[in-house]
Amino acid sequence: MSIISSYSTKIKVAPRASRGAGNKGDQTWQLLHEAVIAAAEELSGEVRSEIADYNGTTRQVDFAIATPEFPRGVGIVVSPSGEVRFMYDHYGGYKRQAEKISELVTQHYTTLAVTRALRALNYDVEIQERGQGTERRVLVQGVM
Amino acid sequence: MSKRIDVQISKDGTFRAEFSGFAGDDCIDHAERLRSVLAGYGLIVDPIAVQRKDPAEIAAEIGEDEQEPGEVRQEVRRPR
Repeated sequence: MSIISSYSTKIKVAPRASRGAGNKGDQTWQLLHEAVIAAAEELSGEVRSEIADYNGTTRQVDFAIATPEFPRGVGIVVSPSGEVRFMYDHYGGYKRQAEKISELVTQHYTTLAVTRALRALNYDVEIQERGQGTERRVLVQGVM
Repeated sequence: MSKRIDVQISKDGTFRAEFSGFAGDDCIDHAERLRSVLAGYGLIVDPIAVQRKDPAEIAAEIGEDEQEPGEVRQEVRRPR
């Protein structure tokens, strides 16, 4: 029998105390960092550690991505229990730009996690990107 | 026949996984194992819908034209 399943997803990294640094850190924090870097590169942005609001007030976050379209930046904040949240000030008509950054981080994280999970289950994995209109989809294929 | 999982990931992180080439309830076991491993990578996933492939889809999957009459696609909706 074969099935087709649809899943909702939620990113939950290890508690903050497990974060560590470099390759010695927890794998979920490493994945989050990789997803942030990939999203920033794709949007010609840069990875920072703070975001700004409309008034220019800055705030420290775990990771931030600032892009030419949204230089205030989107912050990625991890709660003490590992819940991942996005933080930004979209005042002035920047909601879509901020959402685009948040979605891209989420999609990259999911892609990285699915790819590594399939490899851990001994599948050979290939990744393809597919655009459907304005919707970017990623296809991860695992064959055993 | 090789076992295959095609995962299509949307921009909001939701995804659709198509399991092909599994015998019996093997695909259910693999789906559960995938969920479990994903949790270790920080991705908590909940099934929205599980759809059994209909005979035509299975026949196409294994390259056969035979279909069992009377079978219809079954869809099971689960609460999020």
